[in-house]
Amino acid sequence: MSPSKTASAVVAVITIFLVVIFATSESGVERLRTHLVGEVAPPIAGETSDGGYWSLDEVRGRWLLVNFFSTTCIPCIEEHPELLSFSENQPTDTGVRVVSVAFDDDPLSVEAFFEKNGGDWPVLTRDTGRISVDWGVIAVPESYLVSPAGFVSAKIVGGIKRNEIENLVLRAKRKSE
Amino acid sequence: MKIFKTHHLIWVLFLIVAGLSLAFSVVVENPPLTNSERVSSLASDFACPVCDGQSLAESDVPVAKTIRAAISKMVDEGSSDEDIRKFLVSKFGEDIDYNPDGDGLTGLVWVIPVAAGIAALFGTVLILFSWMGKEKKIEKSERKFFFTPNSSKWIWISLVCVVAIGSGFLVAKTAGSRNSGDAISGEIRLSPRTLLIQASVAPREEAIEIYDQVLELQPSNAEALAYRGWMLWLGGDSSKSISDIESSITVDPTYPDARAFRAIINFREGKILEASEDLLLLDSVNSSPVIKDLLASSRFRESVSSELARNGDLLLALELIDSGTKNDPQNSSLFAHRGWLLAISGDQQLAELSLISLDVSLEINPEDPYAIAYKALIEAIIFEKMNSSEKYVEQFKSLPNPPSELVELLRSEGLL
Repeated sequence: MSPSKTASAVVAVITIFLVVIFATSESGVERLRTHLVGEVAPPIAGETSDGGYWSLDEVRGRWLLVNFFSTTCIPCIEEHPELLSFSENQPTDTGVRVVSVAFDDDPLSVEAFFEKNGGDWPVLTRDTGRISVDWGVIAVPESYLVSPAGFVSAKIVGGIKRNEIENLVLRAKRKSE
Repeated sequence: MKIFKTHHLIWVLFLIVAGLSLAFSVVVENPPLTNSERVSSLASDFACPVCDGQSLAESDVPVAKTIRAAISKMVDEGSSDEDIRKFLVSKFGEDIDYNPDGDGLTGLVWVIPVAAGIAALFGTVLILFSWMGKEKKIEKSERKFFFTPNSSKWIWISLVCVVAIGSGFLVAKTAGSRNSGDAISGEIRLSPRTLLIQASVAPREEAIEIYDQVLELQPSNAEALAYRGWMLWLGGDSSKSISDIESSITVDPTYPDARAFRAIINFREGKILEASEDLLLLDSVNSSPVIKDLLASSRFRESVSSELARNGDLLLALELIDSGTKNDPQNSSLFAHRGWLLAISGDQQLAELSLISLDVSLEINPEDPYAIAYKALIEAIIFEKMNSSEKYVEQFKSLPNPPSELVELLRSEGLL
């Protein structure tokens, strides 16, 4: 084989190799949807809007919905009634617990928001930046379903609907059984 | 005796260029010393996850601010740059790392330019050896002068040198440590800020498309929502326009442009009270010069206050004007309009007070056409001082290009 033909063959092989590698690698969008799923939930602990203290450890053994939100984000405002409806319809002893983590928001605005729109679940408002980074939150609203064993079962990017969360919980429970 | 041949000189030249490049790279890559410099350097080394083409250091979106704060905290806690790098990559993926390590697939980022460089060098050496072989044959046979017809090889060598140096420069610029602003063609992809600037000078339809792109990247971008709403309203899509502008105000209640747009839309739709509320709120925040000019040039505040006075709410009309003069005490037009509102109230005492406002207007701008015309009208109709009125009419006539509405008004009262 002549040198030019050899060179062309080498270039072709390298090109095909690169195309296969890049085509089969995980895309950024896919990673966005599945980030943390199947992994141990990162820690959450801090001061709540009512001045108390809340930690992820408090709800070990229960299903938990972690909701990252901001009062200045439209999808977050739109999803709030759905979240409220979901939370209110959960059985007290065995239902899914909800915790909200404010993302780059003013604690006073968050308190006013919950006072106006309702929601009696724990809301972490202060120094929540590190929690958001630990969870890899990119743009709110983002929600995560955490299993009783402390693993992230599902991730929801964008605003949520009550029936969607209920279906998600149902699927996650069946899968874990 | 000739010790160095020309091709030796070319190799020396290559070595000098390579040596200088290495020395330069070592000199410019001094590590930062303080914690603040480390935070700044690390923030520059990572892309903002939601804003294309901007690093964490360049972006002001919430996620960038949050990550910057986390970096700062980790630096203060004593974490090494490598620890922070690994932490951020584990949380946000390798896509955000401008300096990926050499493991796995990302290693190709480093390997490919090096492999390409070695291959190019190898090819160049082969060509040079090939030419040297030919040269010897020629020397043995027929070549007698240095610059013979075979001297075209020097053109080729020069061309190879230029291409090699240019390629090296381009590889150095595009590979390895690189921030968005360091790219040869500027940013790798357009950031929302760049898109917003583009939209501000684009035709309406194109601007709407650009705002759509911004809102895909940042659904809660108040500026894009407000301006898309405004563009839609200009195009006649009232309902979607209102929805966008309302969303913008929800996202950022202090964003003045959205307030101004809503005020204008409300006024055009006959919602005078709502328009005045937005204008009053607009006075409490810092408006951009563009919005100030838009409202001043269209005499929007004066129009809203006139409508309020016509609807019997003189106090609110005056409050609106006073709020405007408080922010812009040199606006002669507002003082003139204040005088006019007082004069047409039908109250003799207020009419007398109107002259004070008109005098203030003329003190600020002796050629304010509104103050001059209103003076002429008030003196003639309310105080029946025709001589004084005529003086102002004459002054009005001498104005270049007076507003047509004032000309009509004076004509309708028989003063022109």
